[in-house]
Amino acid sequence: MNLVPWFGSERDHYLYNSGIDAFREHYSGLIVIKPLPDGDYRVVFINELGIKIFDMEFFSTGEFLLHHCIAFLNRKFIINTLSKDISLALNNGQMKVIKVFRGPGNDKSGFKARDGNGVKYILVNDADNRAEKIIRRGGLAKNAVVTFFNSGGTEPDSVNISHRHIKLDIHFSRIDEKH
Amino acid sequence: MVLQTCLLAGQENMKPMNDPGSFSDRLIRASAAVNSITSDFTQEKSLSVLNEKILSKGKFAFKKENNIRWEYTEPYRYLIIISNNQMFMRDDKSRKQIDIQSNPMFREMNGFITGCIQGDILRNDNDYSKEYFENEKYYYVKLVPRSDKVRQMLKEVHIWFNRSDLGVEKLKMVESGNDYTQIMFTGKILNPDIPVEKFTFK
Repeated sequence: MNLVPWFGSERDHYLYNSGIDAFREHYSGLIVIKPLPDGDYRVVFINELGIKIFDMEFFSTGEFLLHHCIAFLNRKFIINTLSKDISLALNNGQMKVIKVFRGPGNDKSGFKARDGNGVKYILVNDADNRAEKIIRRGGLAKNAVVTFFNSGGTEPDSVNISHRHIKLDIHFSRIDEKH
Repeated sequence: MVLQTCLLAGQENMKPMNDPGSFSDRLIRASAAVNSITSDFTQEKSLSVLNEKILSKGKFAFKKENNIRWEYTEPYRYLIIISNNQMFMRDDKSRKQIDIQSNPMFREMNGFITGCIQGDILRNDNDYSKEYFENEKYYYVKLVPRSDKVRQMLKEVHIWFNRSDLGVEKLKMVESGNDYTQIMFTGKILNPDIPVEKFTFK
């Protein structure tokens, strides 16, 4: 399958205005997504006043490294859930496809793939081979839906990550940088 | 939005301050005479993971007691108002209000920012150790938080005070991995009449 990544290495980095509602606390600021060689990513979240909230690295092998997280948020369950969610949105690494299906309408392909101990369903727009929606199933905290909103560009205008069973929602909105 | 050069010229020829005690006394008197401030600001964020710095700009306003307004205008419009222990944030799409006292991160940040602007932070020996320097243009104070928990968030804080009016000209917050945020204040006006509506949430 030729799935085109949303956060490709043709850009030095991607900058999003972001909000994270995690377990009754609200964090907002900027998310920086930096593509690294070999399909790895570095993701840094800083608050409005410029302070770094977390700094995570995602490897194409599926492994994850926490470089930094403020003490107030640094709890194993929160970090595990956040990192799995962001990894799902990055959708990097080799995909082990279990099943291919047609999505709703005639313009979408669907893929069922392994995701750790669970599975994920990826709905792809046939026009550009980019994911429109990724749904993960695999346990209460792991169940998550990533939705990409795009009006024709090569990066998403916004990304929404939501959970059904836990109070964690993440939203990114693209910022146009002036170079 | 990308700043190619490093704005650290203010650190040139810094030497230990001759009389930190006298400086602190003058700063307390100067701060007492300032009831409000408006200025433009440029915020530079340096992340080791990025080759380029993230630059944002906007307008700043302060009014005693503890009313702060950060109005970001570039690269996106964003408003932060801190008043009466509440923090209000608004962008084009959403608005949020947070009780600072119930959010430990913002409680620390608010105390720190307000303390820097009013100069009170230099009187706080319990939470910060300090080193004092000066050159022809600035008084410069480097603060290191004593608490391990705060140090995880802020490793060092550097404040540059203008020698003429002792106002804060630059503020640099250094984090782990030597990532930093530097805020430069320009076009500063002392004691302007700022309508209270500038600090109300709407």
